[in-house]
Amino acid sequence: MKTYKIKLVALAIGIFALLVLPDMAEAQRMRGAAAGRGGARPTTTRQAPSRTPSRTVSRPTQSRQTSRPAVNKASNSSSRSTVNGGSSRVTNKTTNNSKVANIKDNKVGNNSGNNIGNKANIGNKVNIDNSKDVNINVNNSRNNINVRNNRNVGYRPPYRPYPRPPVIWGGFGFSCFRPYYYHPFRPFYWGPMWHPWGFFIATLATTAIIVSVENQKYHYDEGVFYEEADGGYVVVEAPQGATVKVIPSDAQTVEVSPTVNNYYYGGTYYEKENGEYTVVAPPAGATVDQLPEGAEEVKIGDQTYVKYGDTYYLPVQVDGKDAYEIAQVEEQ
Amino acid sequence: MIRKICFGAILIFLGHLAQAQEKKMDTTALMILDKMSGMFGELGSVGFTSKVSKDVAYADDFFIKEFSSSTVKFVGPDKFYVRVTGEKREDLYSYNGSQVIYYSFANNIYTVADAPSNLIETIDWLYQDFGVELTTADLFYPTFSKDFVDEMDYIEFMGVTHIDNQRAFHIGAANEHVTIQLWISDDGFYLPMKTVLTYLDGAQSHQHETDFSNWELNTVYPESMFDFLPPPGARQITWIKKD
Repeated sequence: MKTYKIKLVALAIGIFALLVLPDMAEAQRMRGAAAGRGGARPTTTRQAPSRTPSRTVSRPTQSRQTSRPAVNKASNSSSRSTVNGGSSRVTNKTTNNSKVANIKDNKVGNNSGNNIGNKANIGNKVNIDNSKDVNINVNNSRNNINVRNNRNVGYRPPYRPYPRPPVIWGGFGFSCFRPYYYHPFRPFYWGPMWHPWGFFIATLATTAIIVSVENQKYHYDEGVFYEEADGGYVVVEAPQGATVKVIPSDAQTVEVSPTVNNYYYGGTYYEKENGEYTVVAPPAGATVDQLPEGAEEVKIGDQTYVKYGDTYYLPVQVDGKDAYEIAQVEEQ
Repeated sequence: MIRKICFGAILIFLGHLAQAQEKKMDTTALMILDKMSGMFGELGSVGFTSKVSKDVAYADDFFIKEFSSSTVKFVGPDKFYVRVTGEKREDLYSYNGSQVIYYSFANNIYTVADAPSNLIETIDWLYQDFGVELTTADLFYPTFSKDFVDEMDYIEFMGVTHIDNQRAFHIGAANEHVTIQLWISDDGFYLPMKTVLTYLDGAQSHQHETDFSNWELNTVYPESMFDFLPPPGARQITWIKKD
């Protein structure tokens, strides 16, 4: 009976101890489980405690925190059903503006001409009255100057036939002698006295002369034609048919045919006759090295032309050098 | 009596002529075309690679062959991504539901145009207004088999053949301007494997051949794939329409 009581007390102490020290119970269960799985490999041989310090030394917790700070902890950015919930952008979504024209459209040339005038005002340091905000625009009621000349034609036909049929586009046939060879368009500047269409200048140099073409008065100086506007002068497209005595000395020779040469300066073509130079239409089939500001690249089918005024130029190569061939654009 | 016999003979002759002008439509061929067209009608998206070789007029009496390859992703109802690699060019055409962008990788220039609001209209508009033929897009038109029957005078199933060890249905069709051959896969999907168009108008006939491969059906493509972000230094130029 006594031994029974002792057993009972021992059991009660045991139960109490299990309740107070649950860790111990768990540890015993774990060990038991481990022992149960592999009796031949006692837990004492694993020596788990000895591995802990060596890991701590070789991979300190501090360095781990530095390499992966808590703020960068990856998580889905939202509950959207994508791989990562959607990413956050570092660039702004751009709005692309539509820019479409057709061949009969004069929009390309006019637009670029107006832009040039305004831009040039900002950067010019000579003879410019910046207080005047001259906006050259066909539709501007205050200032009705058109930098483009409607009487001008886009090209003169070449002296020889084209070997290939024209590329038809929107009822027009585009013909060129040389194969298409794209190179990026970079506007060329012919020096400090040359200005692009739409450029405003308050006073002209004393060397400027007056040229009349079909009752329209122009001022000419150093290869640039001006019209009077708003108390100053605005650069306009050279009027075909205008005759001047002098052109800039750095005008280039352009071969029109084996017997005829033209002179090219600032996007304008001159033909010499009796010691005078007459502004003529660009000769189709001829090539030039540079095109002025105001020209604009346009995509026609698979090819990118450069349009200046009403003239289309095809990027080509002549003897390994980048050039532009004046295209014939004929209504079909 | 002789007059009656002559009249009868003329009637028979005219009747024979009328029969000769009738269209010849092979029902097996039409069934296969309907299967292909119907399958495209059920897809939410389609992706594939097409390799094109075509004759291009170089001079009045001389065609040269041009090769190109396109990776195409069409997503209904209003998106596409087409990358064209040619002999001298690598171009991207992308459509995000409101605008079509053309970008030239070789020249770093791009164009933008406001587009119609759905895929098929946009593909048609691109061809009509800008001369851009993305691929043999007619195959994806919802009215393909009907248009095909309307336009062709003669459609025939030419039997089963093999392309790259895969069974294909061979269909031939013709009218006075063009002959068309189609090879359609016999694998339950009825996907086009090859098309050959021979144009008969003009001084010389010329061909347009397309090989299709790497088909992806109903793959989910991410939205951002169709948004164009101009690369640094890229210049936007004006896109000239045909009209």
